Amino acid sequence: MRRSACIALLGVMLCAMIPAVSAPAGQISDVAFRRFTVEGGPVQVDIGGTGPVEWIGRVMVKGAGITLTADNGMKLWPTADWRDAERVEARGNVKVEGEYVAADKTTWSFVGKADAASYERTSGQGVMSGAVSFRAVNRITGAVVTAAADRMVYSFGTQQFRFERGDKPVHMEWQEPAPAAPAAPAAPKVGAAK
Amino acid sequence: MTASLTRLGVAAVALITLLGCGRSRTPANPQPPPPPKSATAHEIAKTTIKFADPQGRWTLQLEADRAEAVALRGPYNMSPARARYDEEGRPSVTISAKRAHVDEDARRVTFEGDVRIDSATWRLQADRAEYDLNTGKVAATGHTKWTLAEAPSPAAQHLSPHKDDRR
Repeated sequence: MRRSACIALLGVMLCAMIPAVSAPAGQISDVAFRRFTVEGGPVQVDIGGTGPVEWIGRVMVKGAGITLTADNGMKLWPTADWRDAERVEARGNVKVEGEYVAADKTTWSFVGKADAASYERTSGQGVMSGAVSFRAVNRITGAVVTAAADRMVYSFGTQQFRFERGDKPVHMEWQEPAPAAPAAPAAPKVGAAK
Repeated sequence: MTASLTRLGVAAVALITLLGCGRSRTPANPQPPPPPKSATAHEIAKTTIKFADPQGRWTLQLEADRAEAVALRGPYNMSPARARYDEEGRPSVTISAKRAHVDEDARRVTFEGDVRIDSATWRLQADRAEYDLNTGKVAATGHTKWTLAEAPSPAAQHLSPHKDDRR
């Protein structure tokens, strides 16, 4: 159960970069991600074509309660009807943070970091690459999940993810919160017993 | 004697008529003369400028309540500015801003002040945006905010600026 929640969390982390999460490629399955804003500095839009929308410098993407920041810009290739993103690339100290309610109804706060992140609609894959680190905290139990890798690939079709770290083992930790100390016996109340 | 008096009277009346009489012609509150205007400056109210692709693929139409130009060919300073980009098979894109500078020779339109670019599915807000008539690209600078939304924007249906604030 916990592992599946962790997997789902990682999926959500990538969802932050994506305007529409489509289960089968080409279909819109989650309209919650279809509204998001990108704030930043200079941006170039090819209103007469299908060229990418390109941000230079720091950007902040907000949507569905999730925030993504990147220091070195972002590119978004729209679909032909400009209703979705064909491909998204964010570069430079990419950070994703937010909150997620897992299938078991537990709420997780998470922060994911990487050098770059991308999403491709046709393959249905989201990729975080370069010094990937991920940390999620269960808001109810306090359990902590951390992972470190060079690359993480998440498939929206199969809802499976894969951590890669070349020949080295992927570092992953699960930390249960320390059991709470037993409550001290209540002090007898003066004059309580008659 | 009578005749000479009559001639004198007629001459006096003529002189008074020629010189004028009654109120002084000097204004009560003399105003300084207006600063000389540039010989080539033009001010035009309710201006529309239309650019069209030679191949007929797109049009860009700009409107303003007021426009100034140093020459008939421009460049033009328009305020407040509204523009509409139309291309066959695509939803219209509207642009509004406090000011626009239209330089046909440079093939560039620069929008400044509360720039808002609306399409059916997205909106871009910026401090400044430059539209390149050759490439069709808009380069926005200053603080920018780009929104992708599912609902079509009614703002894309007309040229009036800032009427749709529902997003």
